[in-house]
Order: sequence, then C-alpha cells, then structure tokens
Amino acid sequence: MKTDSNTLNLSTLGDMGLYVHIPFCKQKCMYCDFPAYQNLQDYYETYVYALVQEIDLWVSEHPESKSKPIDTIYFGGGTPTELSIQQLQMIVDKIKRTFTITDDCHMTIESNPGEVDLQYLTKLVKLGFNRISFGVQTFDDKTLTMLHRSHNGEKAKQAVHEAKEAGFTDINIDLIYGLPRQTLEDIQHNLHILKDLPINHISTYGLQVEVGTYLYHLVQKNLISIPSESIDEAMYDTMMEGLKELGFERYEISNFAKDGSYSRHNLKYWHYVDYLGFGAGAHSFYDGIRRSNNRNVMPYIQAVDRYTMPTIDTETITVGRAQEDFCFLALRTKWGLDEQKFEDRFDVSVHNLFGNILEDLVTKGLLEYQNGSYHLSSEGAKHGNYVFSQFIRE
Amino acid sequence: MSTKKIRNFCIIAHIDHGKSTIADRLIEYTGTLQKREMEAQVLDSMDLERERGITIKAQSVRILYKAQDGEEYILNLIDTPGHVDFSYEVSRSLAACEGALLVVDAAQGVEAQTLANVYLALEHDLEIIPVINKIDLPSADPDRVKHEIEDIIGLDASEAVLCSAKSGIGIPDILEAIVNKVPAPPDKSDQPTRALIFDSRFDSYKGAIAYVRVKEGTIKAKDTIRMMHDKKDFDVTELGIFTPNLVPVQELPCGSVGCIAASIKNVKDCHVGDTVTLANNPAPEPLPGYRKAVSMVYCGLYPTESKDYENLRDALEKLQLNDAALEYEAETSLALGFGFRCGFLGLLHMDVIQERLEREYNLTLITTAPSVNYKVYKTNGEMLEVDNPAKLPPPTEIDYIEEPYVKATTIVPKDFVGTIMELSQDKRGEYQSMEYLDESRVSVVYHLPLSEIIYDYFDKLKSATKGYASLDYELIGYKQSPMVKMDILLNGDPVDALSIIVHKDRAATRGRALAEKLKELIPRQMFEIPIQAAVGTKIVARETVKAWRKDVLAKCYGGDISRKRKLLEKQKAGKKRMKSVGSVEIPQEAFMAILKVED
Repeated sequence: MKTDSNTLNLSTLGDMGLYVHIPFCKQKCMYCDFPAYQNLQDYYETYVYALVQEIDLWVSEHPESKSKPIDTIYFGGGTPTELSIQQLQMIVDKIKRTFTITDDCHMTIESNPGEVDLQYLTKLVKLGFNRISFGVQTFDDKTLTMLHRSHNGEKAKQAVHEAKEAGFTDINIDLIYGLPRQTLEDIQHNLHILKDLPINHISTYGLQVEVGTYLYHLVQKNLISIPSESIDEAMYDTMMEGLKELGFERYEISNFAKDGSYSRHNLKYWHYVDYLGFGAGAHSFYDGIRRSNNRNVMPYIQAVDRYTMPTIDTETITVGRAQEDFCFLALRTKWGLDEQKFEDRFDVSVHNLFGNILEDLVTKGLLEYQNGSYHLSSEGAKHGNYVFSQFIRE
Repeated sequence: MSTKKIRNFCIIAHIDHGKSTIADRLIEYTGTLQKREMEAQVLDSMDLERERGITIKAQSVRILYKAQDGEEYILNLIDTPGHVDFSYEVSRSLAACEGALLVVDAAQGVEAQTLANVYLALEHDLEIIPVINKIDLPSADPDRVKHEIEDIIGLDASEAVLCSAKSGIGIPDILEAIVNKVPAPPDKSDQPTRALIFDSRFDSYKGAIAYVRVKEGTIKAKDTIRMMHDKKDFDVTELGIFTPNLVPVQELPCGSVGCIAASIKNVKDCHVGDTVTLANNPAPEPLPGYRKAVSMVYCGLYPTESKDYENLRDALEKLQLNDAALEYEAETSLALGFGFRCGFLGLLHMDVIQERLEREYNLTLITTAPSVNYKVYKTNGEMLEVDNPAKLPPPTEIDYIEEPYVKATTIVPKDFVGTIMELSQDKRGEYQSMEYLDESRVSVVYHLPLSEIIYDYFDKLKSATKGYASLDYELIGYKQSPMVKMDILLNGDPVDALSIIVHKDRAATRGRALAEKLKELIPRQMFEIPIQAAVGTKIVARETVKAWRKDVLAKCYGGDISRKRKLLEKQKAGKKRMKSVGSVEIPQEAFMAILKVED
C-alpha cells in the first residue's frame, strides 16, 4: 500500500469510498461530541440488521452505485470493535455482495487499545481489514485515567504490537494534544515512545472543548483546566517537529504518514471524491449531493425499519459552492490546490474566481505557490481556518 | 361648522403603561376601524417603533364618536413621541391639543418619567384627565394610585377613569370624559389663518405633507399657503384628515386637525413648529414656540463595503425626506474611506437612523463615536466649527476651544438628590438650582457640557436612580473648556475614526479605559496589536491584543464536510462586520467603544 509521495496517482482516487459508522463505545470520552453512545449493548444486533437494511434501501434508490468501484472501506465510530466478529462479518459480507470492491481495497477499522486481543485482531484481518486505527490519544497514564479511557500506556503499545502480529499492514494511532493536565514533557514522552512502535500513520488533533460535552461542563464550572494557549502552541510545535524527525510526513493538516502510507479513505474527503456512508450519523457525498443520517440510534433503526432512508439532511452542492469546497479541502493536503485540476474540473481558471484571495494569502505568507499549485505555509497551517474561510464567498 | 363638537387630545403615559393599547381600543370601540383592519397598535406604524415600544414619529387619528348626549363629536387623537431626544416634537404635539389623557398603571402607580410630560402638558394649559389602566390585574390598587396622582402630581383624581384597555373595560367612560372635560377649541374662524405644524412626512407622490392643527381661520383646498418662518408659498394640492387612513377633504376649519399637501419638494420646507398662514391674507405674527431643529450629536456613518457608498447616500437622501432633523454631508476618513458626517437630535435618534439604514436599506455600517459640535478659535483669529475629532487643527494653531453646554433639568424622588449631584459634579456640571415640586419630588437644574450628556450621563442617571429620574435638556450656549484631541494608534498607526475630543484632565483616565475596552473588542489577529492612546505625542495609555497563535487542529469524522464548512461560514460571517484598517481588522463596535467605557 505504499505509494511514492510525489507521484500519488490521484486517478485511483476517482474510485468511491465507503464509510460505516458504529456509534457504540464501552465508555463515552468526556471530550467526545461524535455520535457515540455507551450502554447500548442490547441494541448491537438490531443495529447491525438495520445497517444491512440501509444498504439495501440505498441500492434500490441508486442501483447504479453497485457497479462503481470502491477502493476504500472505513469502519469508524464510536468503536466498531465493540461489535462481535460475527456482527462485523455480516456487514462486511453485505458490502462485498452488494458493491464492486477493488482487489487492492484499503479496509480500515477503528478500535481502542485494551479492548481487543490478539485473537480478535487476527479475525479482523481474516475479514479483510488491512488497516487499523487505535484511539491512543496519549501514552501518559495519569491523563488517560482522568479521561476515563479504559487503557493505559502499556496496553496501547501492546495493542499496536499485537495488531502487527495479527497481520495488519497499516497501523494508525490517534494522538490528542492539549488535554487537561497534559504537560509538554508528556508530549515529548509520547514522541519518544512512537520511535519503537510499528506504526506508519498518525493522526493528531488539538483538544477541542465542544459545547454539550462533559468536558465542556467541567471547564465551564472551572473544575478542570486545559493547557494555556502558549503551552498548547509549544505542544503543537513539539509534535510537528518530533513527527518530522521520526520520518512522518505531514500530508494533510492533521495526518502524518511514513513512506507514503497515506489514509486513502480520508484523502477522498479532501480530494472531493464520492463516498457512501452507512449507519447512524454517517455522511455521504454522492453525485453532487451531501447527505447525513440521523445521529441517534433509535430513530435511525426505526426509520430503516419502516423502509425509509434515515437521511436527515440533504444538500445539493451548487457549482459555486463546489468550487469553494474544492479549494479549501484541497488546501488541507500537501498536494494543495492545483490550478490545472481545478480548471479540469470546473472549466474555469481558479484565478478568475479566487485570484485576489490567493494573491492576498501568498502576500500574507500563509500560502506558497509552487509548480502550478498552492500549499499552506507552516504559518498558514497554524491558521488553517482563516485561510480556508477566505474561500467562502457570500 | 362650529368648533364645539371638536376635541383635540393626546395621551401621556409612562412606557408600558398602555398608551398604545388605549389608543387602539378607542379607535376600535368607535368603529373608526374594523377589528380586522386593526393591526395591533395602529399608531406606532414603524416596525422599529413597535419593537422598541416607543413612538418616534407622531401620528394622529380622527375618531367620530356619538356621545351619550346624542351628539356626534370629532375626537382628534394626536400621538406624541416619547423620548428626551424628541422633547421639542412633544411640545409641538401638545401645543396642538386642548386636553390630555394621563394614563397610569393601576399596579405600578405614578412613575417619575411620566412627570416631565405632565408638567409639559400643564405648561400648555391642557386639561388633564387621569386614567387608571390595567385595573383587572390582580395587583391593581386603584385607590392607592389615585392618592399618588393627587399627592405627587397635584391633580384631582376623584373622577379618574378606571379602565382595562386590554379587556376593553372603561373605554366608553374615557370617551365620555374626553367629550365632557376637554374644552372645545376656541372658535377663531374669523381671524387670519394660523395653523401649527406638529409633524411632517414625505410622500413620494405628494411631496412633503404638513400635519397641522388649525388654530385660527380656515384652510381651503384652493388656497395658497405660506410657511411663516421659512417665508415660502405653496399652492395646496390636497387637504386631508386621518381615519387613520388619509381621506381628502375640501377644507380644514378652525380647531381641526388634518394635513396639507402642497407639492412641497423638501421636508425641510415643512418645519415642525412653523406656522401655516394664507398668502393672500397672512397673519401678522406666527404662533409662539418655534424652534429650529438643531443637531446635538454628530457621528460618521461609513459603509463596511466601500461599494455601498452610493447606496448609503441614496438611503440618507430618502430618510431625510421624512426626517427634517437628520443632517448629513460627505466626509472621508483615512481609516474608513468615503462616508457621511451626520447630525442628530440625540443618541436615540442616531441609533434609530442607523438601524433604519441597516434594516430598510440593507446596509452594513460603521458608526464612529458620537461627538458634539465644538467652536475652535484659532491663533490666526479664525473660528472653526468642528464636529469630527479628526478635523481638529493641531494644538499649536488653537487659541482656545468652546464646547456646547446644556441646561439639564432632572426630576427625582428626594432620596436621590445626593446621587444626582454627585453624578453631575463628576460630569463637570455646574449647579444652578433645586426646587421641591412636592414633599417627595425635587427638580434639580445643572449646566452640563453636552458631550458629557451624550456619553453616558443618561444611562448613569437611570441606573443610579433605579429609573426614577427623568431628564430634559436644552442647549444654552458655548463655554470655553480645555479640550484636547486624543488619538488612538493601532499597530503604531493613528486611526482617525477612533479619535475623540476630551477634557484635558480626563484624557489619561479615558485613554486608559478606552484602550482597555478596545483590547476587549478587537479580536486577536495573526500578529500582536499594540493599542495606544495619545494626546499630541504623549502616550497616555497602552494595551496589547496578543497575537492569535494558531487554530486548533480538529478531527473530521466520517467525512462530515458540511460541519467543517459551517464553521468556516461562521468565521467568515464574523469578519463581515469588520473593517480592515491597514492590516488590522476592527469590529464595528470598536468605533463606538468610547460609549461603553466606565470612567
């Protein structure tokens, strides 16, 4: 699954991706505002049946999608490995029977360290998963305990080694910086641990205190404190520097890969390629339409039970909007916004539409221009939202 | 037609005591409008007025009422604006009436702000009919309120009308009281015509329309009228009365209320307070009480998008047609580009105009800090009027500066006298007099710099007296004051639109407060922004807006691009109300920051 980083064949990105959302967790993390729920074990089985049913409903409305090649399948959550191997198999089989899956398909599954053993991991590989993504967040035990994560640093390392042993070719871990009580030393310690782990991909995010989360409540009430902005920035700088030293290439604003082991699925989001999404809270982008499913498990199941699509939001993307989305999504990656690709797609020069903005951002030192495409500078990467928002017209 | 069957009256009430509801009920009860034609609160017709619960433009309506004596009467209800900025307009409306309903809430009782208007009404010799409203409230105590009216205002309340406008109780009693107590206008139909303009309005077909009360003589549909102060003649094109929709009539007899259209192109030729007479038989003297509308407060209005400049000019032109008190002229600012210097009656007037421009003309505006008009005497003997701090000449060219002073009359319960004095002293006020209106009410008179009044005097007064004070002020002239210009530098560059003129003893304090406020208001940007307040070359205060170091790297789960986009849209929308000055983005509120600082 290695690709030469500079000659990434974007044409293969033309194949669709497929996302499956499993909204269950052993325990909801205090900072999480994704569709993920704990204590719903009784509904796992029903949910899996509903998901299979949703796929049927989808193809009856879009029979043509059956023959479109799909080269990435991504089981995200929540924690997809909350399901049993049999339950996962039902979904995988359904997908394989229904759609046209390419031979070299990337199949990713998200999991938590400490919640899966070698035996289970081996069975995942047998099911066809070749890429696994662990929600490690940090290797530091005191922070993990406070976040009510079920694993500790040791278990995280062990999980990675076991995944390797089970036969996963690509292993990602998620790391969060700026966690409550986290220190700069913790970040350095994390980087030190990474050195000896058989992983080839890292996603890293800054902690975001989202409205409605338990963490938000704690921060509002001053019951917990998060690192100051200057420490947060130092953490970010340390991460960027450290990952680079370890040979991880920043190919997307929050994703890093060794030896070109990019997450092919996530690139579909940034490269404006179609993807299907199934499950509660899943999103899809198909034929110029963005759809999202009901986030809540019960209404999702009920909708599908009534043979209706569980879609709650449908947006038809206008050309103008597509042009904007294309720009700010492309700028997230190291390939950047390519003049030719933009023109090929929209039949108009990006300079006609966004010339002033691009020029302004280059002058401000936030974008760099090279060989026909624009990229974020390292300063620009720090102010990504500012750069991206410039492309939103009124 | 004799004047005996005419009653001209207005309604005086504290805000929320039910003025508009009573007006609605009178209109409805007499069948002037069918219920289905009634938009709630007919009289406050501007959206803004309805939202703010205040009357900005006066309205009037003619009500036909068959009284218990079997006769039909014409009742002209003249509505009055209800804010200190518009006290001149109020006085003109009152001058058009013979009587007033004083509406008092049966639970709340007499409130201080009501007093100012009651005294104004008494000054105009109006017959005042106390009306106690909301008597069906569980907390209503009409007897106590009657006592209050007698004790505090000194009116006989024994025959006060008890009503509940909301449920329609007592409405016929109010109508009877108007007929029986408000005097009919004196019949002076044989005298040369004099009619008082109490309001004006612009109609795109008919031109400026004068709302008048005919005091003497008669106006006929074929007459040529003369504006006595403006000395201009116009041929009447239409006379009308309000039902409340305009209905054409052939004449406006003595004592009546109506309107005149005369192809008057500019509302400026139709001054509130002016006297209308006939060109072929002019009255020797105009009616008393005329005052030219004077702008008290000036500010710059700039479009956030420079392409909207023309639209702003068109909008101001249109608004001015309807609002003779609004003045404007083009000006430019280094920071804000092309815009207009506008003059207003007061801060509320300024607010209202700004809101109307934004709402009715869909403009996004930057308003600069309000300023008063200073007289600057230069060393070369020249006198310069300056209403824009940026235009103040350098100190070396200034001999001295005079600032406008007002006579401010505050009426408060006696317990607050100390508070008022302290506040007025603090605002550079000069004590003039104090008078007990009754056992518990005191009227305190101070001479105050107008600039202090417009900053926050009124707000402070209200909060210091728990809303129990009422304020009225009038311009009395100019006085020499040691005023200096304070500049604000952002990122080292002076921003002309942020300059203010301030008393030199207060420059340091205000400068610090202003810099602190700006620090709060200016969002962090990609670089550090020093904020400095300077008088001449001397920096009196400094604050720093720290740099926005970086965005948070956020997780995007499962391809939720719409959410990403919404975040960006939100960020972008926040930017829309900002103005880029040099490299710094300044939010709209920052230009008004001076109004929000605490001394």
